[in-house]
Amino acid sequence: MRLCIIGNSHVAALRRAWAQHPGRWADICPTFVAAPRSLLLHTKVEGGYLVPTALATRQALQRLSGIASLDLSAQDLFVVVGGSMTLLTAVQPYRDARWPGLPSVADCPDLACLRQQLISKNAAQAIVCAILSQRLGAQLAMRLRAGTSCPIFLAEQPRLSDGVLTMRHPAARLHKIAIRSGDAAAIARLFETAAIAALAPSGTRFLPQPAQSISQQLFTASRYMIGSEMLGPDRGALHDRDDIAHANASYGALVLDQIMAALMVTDRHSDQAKATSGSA
Amino acid sequence: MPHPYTSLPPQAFWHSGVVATDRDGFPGLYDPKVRISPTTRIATAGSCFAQHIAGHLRAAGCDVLDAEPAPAAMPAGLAARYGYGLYSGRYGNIYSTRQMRDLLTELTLGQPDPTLVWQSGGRFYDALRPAIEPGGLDSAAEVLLHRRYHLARTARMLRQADVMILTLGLTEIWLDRRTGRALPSSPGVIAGQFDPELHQLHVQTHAEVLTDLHHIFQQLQGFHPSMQLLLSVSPVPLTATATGAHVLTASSLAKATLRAAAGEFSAAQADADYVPSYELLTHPAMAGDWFAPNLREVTAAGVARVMAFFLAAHGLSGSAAPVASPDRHTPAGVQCEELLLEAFAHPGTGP
Repeated sequence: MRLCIIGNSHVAALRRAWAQHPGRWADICPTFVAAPRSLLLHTKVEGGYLVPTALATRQALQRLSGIASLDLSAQDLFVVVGGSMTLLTAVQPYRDARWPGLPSVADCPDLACLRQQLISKNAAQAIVCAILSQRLGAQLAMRLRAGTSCPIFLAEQPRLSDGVLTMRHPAARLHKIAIRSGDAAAIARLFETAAIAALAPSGTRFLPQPAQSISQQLFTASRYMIGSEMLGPDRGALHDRDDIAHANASYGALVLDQIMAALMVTDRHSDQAKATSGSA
Repeated sequence: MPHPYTSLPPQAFWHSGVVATDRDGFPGLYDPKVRISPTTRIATAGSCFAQHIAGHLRAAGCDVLDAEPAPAAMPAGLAARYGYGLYSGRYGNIYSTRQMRDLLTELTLGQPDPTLVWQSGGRFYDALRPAIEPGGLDSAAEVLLHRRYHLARTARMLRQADVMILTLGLTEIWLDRRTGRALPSSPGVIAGQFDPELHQLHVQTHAEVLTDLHHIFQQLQGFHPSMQLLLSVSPVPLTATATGAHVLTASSLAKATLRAAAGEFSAAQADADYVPSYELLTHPAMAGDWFAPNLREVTAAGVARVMAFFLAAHGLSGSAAPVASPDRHTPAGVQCEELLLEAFAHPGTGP
């Protein structure tokens, strides 16, 4: 199975995991393609290849992945990793809105006095879906779909490290409110539903963050974050210990396991479909 | 020999008032009795055309109230689809004076009627604003929860309003016989099921519209005693009529009825006024490219003309207009339930 793992800095965790335990996923032959931040937005599909359209993207692909372009026909499966497909997007409407289904709304004695706007759950989901649709992950999946009929998966960008809870970090203010109000699980569910909807146009399968790595619904347990590696041509330097955004190789291994499991389900479905069409 | 016409101003005569005048500025056409300034707290409501008003007023630096602002993270187009930012309340389009009067009565009572929930395909819709939640809600209870919230927030907004700008659109209304409420669209068009036993077509007369306007004004001043009322008539013709008449004559009758009632009402009230946006776009003297090729929707240029005229009359001209639609013919993002009726036109008979 030729597997292309493509994305931004979050690819590093999977690449490191593979480098550490290559025998663990013996059935796959991976190609890692990465460029920092949203540089892969500056690409297009041309003649069956994903090619850079900006100098910075071209340089990043060359330096980090050793390729000038990506031959889409040389792969059996694509996994877009990270790409800003993050649960933080679901926290955005929570800043100034609440919706039925949140425990804090059920507990509110007078909704008219709610400090935030009351919106419908559908509206909240549509907001998150609209934001995600514009993110690198969804855009890249759509671009790949234009050049391949292979399965495409998208692995959620890791949630912030739960180490942030001890840091008085501004990024976690709303997370803390959500946890205190009992709203965290509903926000996480909303994100997953919106991500699935945002990826539907490209027929991409959403892989949520592996359950064992999640802490308090909205975070990644810090043991899966500490020691994370930066994107580099080979083995990258480590992020600072207070980096709250990037996961380490242990996390990467969980995602690779998740991909393999998802692949087996996909294969089984495809075998069933073949059997069904054969018997018809 | 002197007579009443010798001392009249130029705008009183067709030649000097229309033919030989500055037809962009039209001096004397609108001398505001109800004044608007950047500090006036404005509420807006009405038929589809009124959706343009709030955006232009905001762009001109006016204080347009918003009872239920969209979350900051909601993209503008999505917000409009969910009924945010179109008017000062998330009440959707209010096409008739009867609908407005009913809403104000409900706002005073503060309790929604649980029978006015429509169901379609397992989803639930507020019958009084069926288009504001595309895809509907999970349950009737959720519809009522959102409606109670809407009523509370809208009432709070009206208590702050100095001026209500109300655009009158239709006289042809569908009534729910059980509650007597005027509906914004026929059941079955967006959601719900049409039942001739429960739903009745009614065409409002001039007398009914006039009576409604008196009630509306009284109700508005119940929220804020010094609230003033600015009336206009939408230049947009009917999409369809269920009266059996031709849609053209039905449109003329509706607009004539609304125009006459608005004129009579505002002439009699010190704190109410009529804005001639209808005349600015529909009168033959206003020759211009004000309507889209479907001869119904007002072009972005038409909207800009009306709003520039209105703002100039209030000393608010020179302000930036909202970004127009990429389609040069139609202004951006108008949400109109009535337009959905077009889908029911006979195939092959469209323009």
